[in-house]
Order: sequence, then structure tokens, then C-alpha cells
Amino acid sequence: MFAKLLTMLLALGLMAGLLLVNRQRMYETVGERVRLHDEVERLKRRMQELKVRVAEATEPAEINDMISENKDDWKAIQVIHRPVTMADTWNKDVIGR
Amino acid sequence: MTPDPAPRLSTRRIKWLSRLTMAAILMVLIVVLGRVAQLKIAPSDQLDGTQGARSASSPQPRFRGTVYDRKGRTLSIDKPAWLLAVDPDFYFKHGHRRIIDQNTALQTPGLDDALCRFVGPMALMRQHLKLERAAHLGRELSEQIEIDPDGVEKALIESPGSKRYLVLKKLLEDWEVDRVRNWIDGRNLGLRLDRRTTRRNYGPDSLKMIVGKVRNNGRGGSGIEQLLDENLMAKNGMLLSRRTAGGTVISVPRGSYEEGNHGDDFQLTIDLHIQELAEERLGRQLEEFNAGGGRCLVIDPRNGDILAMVDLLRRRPDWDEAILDDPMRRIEPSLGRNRNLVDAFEPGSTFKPFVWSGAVQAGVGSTRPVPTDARGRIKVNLGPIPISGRRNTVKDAGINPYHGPLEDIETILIRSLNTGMVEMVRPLSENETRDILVRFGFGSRTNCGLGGSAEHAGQITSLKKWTFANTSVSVSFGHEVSVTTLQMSRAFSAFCNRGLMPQLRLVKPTLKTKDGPLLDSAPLLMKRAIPGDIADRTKKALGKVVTEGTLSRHAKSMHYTMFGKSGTADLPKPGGGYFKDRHTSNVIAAAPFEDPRVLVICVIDDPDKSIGHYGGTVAGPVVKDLVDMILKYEGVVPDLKSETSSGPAKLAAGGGEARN
Repeated sequence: MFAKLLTMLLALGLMAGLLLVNRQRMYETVGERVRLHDEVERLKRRMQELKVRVAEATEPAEINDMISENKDDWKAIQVIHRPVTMADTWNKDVIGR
Repeated sequence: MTPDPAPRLSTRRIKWLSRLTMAAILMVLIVVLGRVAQLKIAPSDQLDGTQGARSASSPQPRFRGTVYDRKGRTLSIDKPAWLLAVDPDFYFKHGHRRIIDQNTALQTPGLDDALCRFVGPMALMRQHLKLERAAHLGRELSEQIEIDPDGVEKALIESPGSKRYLVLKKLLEDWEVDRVRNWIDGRNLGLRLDRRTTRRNYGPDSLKMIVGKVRNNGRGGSGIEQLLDENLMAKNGMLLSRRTAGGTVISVPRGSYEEGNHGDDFQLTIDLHIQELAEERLGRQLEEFNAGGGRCLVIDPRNGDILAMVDLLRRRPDWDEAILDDPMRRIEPSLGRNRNLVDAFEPGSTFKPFVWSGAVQAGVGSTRPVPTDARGRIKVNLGPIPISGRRNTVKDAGINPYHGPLEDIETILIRSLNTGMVEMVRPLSENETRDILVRFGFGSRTNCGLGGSAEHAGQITSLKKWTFANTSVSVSFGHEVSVTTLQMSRAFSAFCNRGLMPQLRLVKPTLKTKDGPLLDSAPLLMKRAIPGDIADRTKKALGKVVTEGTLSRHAKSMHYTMFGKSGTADLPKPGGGYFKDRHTSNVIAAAPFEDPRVLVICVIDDPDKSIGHYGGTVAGPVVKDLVDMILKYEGVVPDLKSETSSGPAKLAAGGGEARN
């Protein structure tokens, strides 16, 4: 009888132990998920900070002044639209012959 | 042999006791299980309250949408920042122990006997310690970051006992956040750094007037920020979690996480660099001519994109200013009154091309002839002409070197002749003349996307009050009508697009929102003002205004072919009537001639007449320089050879400077 009682108690103890372990694992998983979520949030914030840094570093006036230091000599790039065909083999400069 | 009854009794008792014990254990187990089930399924209110106290809500801050310029440069963005707060209750009870050396902090001062008798020595001591602890935190923080130690002390002392969150500094710089973190070094003092955002704007002041301002509550207060507030605004998220007493997260209840969302980004048609160029060049001209203010608008006439919109006011000491002041812009540029939108002006001769082209379309000069002499020359520009029913005569202003009849009606426009414009509208009925203005969009808002109902619709006389002598004649040379720079540029676009006017726009419609593209109907919405051939004919005449007419001296580019018109109108008095010696000078022009890529209008208010006042002289150089700079910046190939176009002979061909 005592053996039966002991077995029952042991079984119950085992079940409770398993339940606790399972519970602990669940907490750890939830904690990890929340930690990862916080990390994602931190990265999003960091990304926004970097966007601000880019914005603060962009000084169009300065850049354009630098480009046009020799603006008297500067010429706009002329784009010539010319059809390129396979038949145009005589011209060595044509790309994609 | 009968068995001994005593052992039988003993065995039975043991069995009975065993069963009883087992039943008791089972009962206890059942009760425990029942209790566990009850705690899990339906805990008592008291317990539930305790569970609630262990749950923590973490705000998930989201960012308001970013506003970019035409080329993706940031104009307005949310910058992540930090806020420093303290839990006063925790700090006074526990936190102070981690930063104050108890041996020095507990040195008791000499207690005032009278006060001791009144409030008791212990209460006085507690108060003294509280003061000392508050002052200590202020001193320590001020050594780390820029913060007023007295302010910290005062805030802590004055905070109610129940307060658990007290903001010490709203916005910390990055270096301050690092210093505070290093100083705290993991100690729980009751101090906390919380996330927040602050709005940053980039670009010149004139641009801030367009982009606008975000209020402290995160809502757009003016400009684009207000116009697109619903789309730009972010929705903050929230994470609700259950925690142990030690703060470890044990669960996130279902449905307790709100993700929130960032605001939508927007791209404006404004170009930051062109805006800077326009502001700088216009400002320089205002200084040079000691003018009271100026407006400049740059658009792409092909699609109605507003590339720059500048409005400057200049207060002159000892000057009786006639232009309405805008004190708000001096306080905060983004709250200024953008006169390109809300203030109309009388254009003067820049208005002539619209009436001229409308009259040509109505048949003036062909089916409806103008008076000619025996040699077939148009009889205008011969001196002041009286108009029946009009108080004053109409004459051509300034020293005019072209005195005499004309070969064609184009010369009326090229030489900006008021007497010629009278002959252009004389054959037209009142309704026909007024209809020209309506077709070019005058008297109606541009709805460019900014200003809303505050945008000025300009003023044209109602048909009921319209008369030939006082309205048709005046309107033909840009008087008795008021317009905005936006309306002028929209109408002038018709000469760039073979008679079609685009819908002006300030927000690029290419960026999509969740609900579909914004301002879907905006791109390529064109309205016809005049037929294509008439538009081309007017454009050709306006080209000669630049090469031979009033713009040839001061507003002719050396690199690009242009077409345009200048105007000079009398400045209206604030109380009614006009100044006789104060003016509004303006020029509108587009370039290159064959395929116009840029349209610039510049209006300069009240220039100093002793320096100059004609539109071509005052506003012309601004338009010319901006055309040159913008087209170079856009990489447009110059279509003029400098050697030929800059020849002195051609420059001088413009001859004397006409008034308009």
C-alpha cells in the first residue's frame, strides 16, 4: 500500500517537475522573443538616426559649389540619342556590335 | 485452532488507517488541484489586481514620415532623441543611497529650536535630508550633462509625493545620453532615459515657410506638415507584458501588442539647391535696389512642378513701408505668410502676352482689323490717346525710341506699347476680353497643394461692372487686375506647352501610400488656354522681347535662348489709390526657347526709384541669372554660342529702355 502511495506521489512529483521545466522554458522563450523584439526596435531607431546623419551631412550648396569651381569651363554633358544596330559594324566605337 | 483476535484487529486497523490516509491525501490533492485551477481560471479580484500590477506596458515609438526634396534630399525628418526622467519616490527612498556617501549626507545641521518645537525634530530632519538628496542629484547631474542643478532640486522638492515620473530634461544630445549611462553604470537610482523624437528641418528659411512646422503634440501646424498631416503622422505602438517581481517577462497576453506604424514619406517637387539659389539671388537684388520685398517662383513648365518658391520681406529704417508686414516670420520662419500664395499684385505689362494672344485668337489683326494708315501700317504709338468714358488718356511710357506706326501686331508686344494693346482689345466685346483672363486661369486658385482656402484667387472685375473704357483698356496692359505669382507662372506655361497649362503641384505624386498614390489626378493634368499655333506665335514675339525688346539689356542670357516679358506697375497705397513714384517691378521668362525646361517669375516690391525701378532693370537680372544657374545645374546644353550672342552689336539692338 505504501509502495503504491509512494509511486503515486513520485508520479505526481514527476509531473509537477515536468510542468515546471516546461513553464521555465516557455518563460525563456517569451523573454528571448521580447529581447529580440527590443533589438529590432533598437535597430529601427538606429536606422532613423543614420538617416538623420545623412540629412545633416548633405549640403547641396557646398557640393554644387565644389562641382562648379571651374564653372566657366564646365560644359553640360550632351546626350546624343543614336540608334545602335547590329548592322552598324563599320563604327568601332559602337558598343554592343 | 482459532486465530488470535488481537493481530486481526491490528491488521484491520492498519488497513483502515492506510485507506484513511490515502483518502486524506487524495482529498488534499484534489483541493490543491481545484485551487490551482481556480487561481488559473478565475482568480479573485484581489489577486487579479496584483497580477495587473506586475504587467508592464512599453511604448513602441514610431516616426513621423520624412519629407524629401525633388532629388531625395531630406527637408524634414524625425530625429530619435532621449528624455531624462526620475521616479522621485524611488529616488528619495532607495536611489539616493547609491550615490550619496551616508557619512557625509547624514551630517545633521543645527536645527532651529522654534521649528523643532513646531513640527518636531524628526520631521525637520526628514525635510532636511530630502532637500540635501534633491540638491545632490542636481549637482551630480550638472557635472555630467547640461542641466540646471537648482532646477532639478526645485522640481524634485516641489513634486507631489505620489508622483512617480518627473521629467528632468526633455531633449538630450547624444553625448549627454552616453554620459548619463556611464554615470548610472547599472545602478538603480530611479533615473530613466526614455525615447522620444524631435523634428528637424533643413534648408533656408524660405523653405521652412513651405515645409511648415510640427506642433509639440506631434501634429502638423503649418505648411506641408499640416497639409499632409494625416499621412505623415505616425501611430505609436504598445507592448503589454506580464513580468515577475524581478522584472523578467513571463508572457505577452494575446492581443496586447500593437505594432503601430511609421508615417508615410513624401517627396516634394521643390529642389533644395534651386531654392537656395533663388533665395540668395533675390536677397542680393533686394539689397542692391533697396527694395521692400521680393517674390520668386521657379517651375518646370512641362509638368507644373514647383521647383522653388521664395518670398522675402525687407524692412527699411526711416522708410514709410507700404507692403504689409509679416512679424510672424521673424519669430518663426515656418509660420510666415507666404506671399506667393496669399498676396496678389498688379502685374503691369507682364500681363500683355495673355491679352494679346487671346485677342489674336479672336481674330484681331486678321478678321477683325486694327486701324492702319495709307501704307498699311498700324496706327499706334503716335501719342496719348483719349478713350471716351475714361478719365485719363493712354500713352506709351518712358522714352520710346520706336515712335511711329508699326508694321505688324507683334511689335506691340515686343515694344510693350500700351496704345497698341488698346487697339488689340478695341474690337472685342467686354465678355470676350474677360473670357481671355478666365481661360488663362486668372481669378481662380491654382490649388497647387499648399495654402488651401488661404490661397489668393486674384481679382478680376465682374462682368456686370466691366466696361471697355475703364476695364478692357486697363486690363490690356495689366492694370485693374491682380494676380499671384502662381497664377502668372501657370498661365505663362501655356506659351511653353503649345497652349496647354499644367496643374501646378508641390507634392510629387509618385510616392505611393497604403491607400494608393497621393494626388493621383495631379500628374499631366493639362488645361488648354489657347490654340497651339497662337501660343507659338506669342512665344516667338516674346523671344524678340528678350533679343530686341525690354529684356535685351539686363535679362538676356549669354548661354540660353529665352522668351519673356517685363512689367512695371504702380505700387498700391494701403488706404487705396496708387503711389506715383513707387512701383512693383516684375519679369517672367522661360528657357530654352525650343523646349522650355524652366520658368522663372520674379516680383520686386517697391525698389528705390533713385537706383532703378523698371521691371527689366530690377527683376530682369534675377531671372536671367536664375535661368543660367538652374539650367546648368540641370545639365541642359547651352543653345547659344557665347561669342555670337554676347556681341555688343546685338546687345545694343535693344536700344533705349522702355518703361515696361
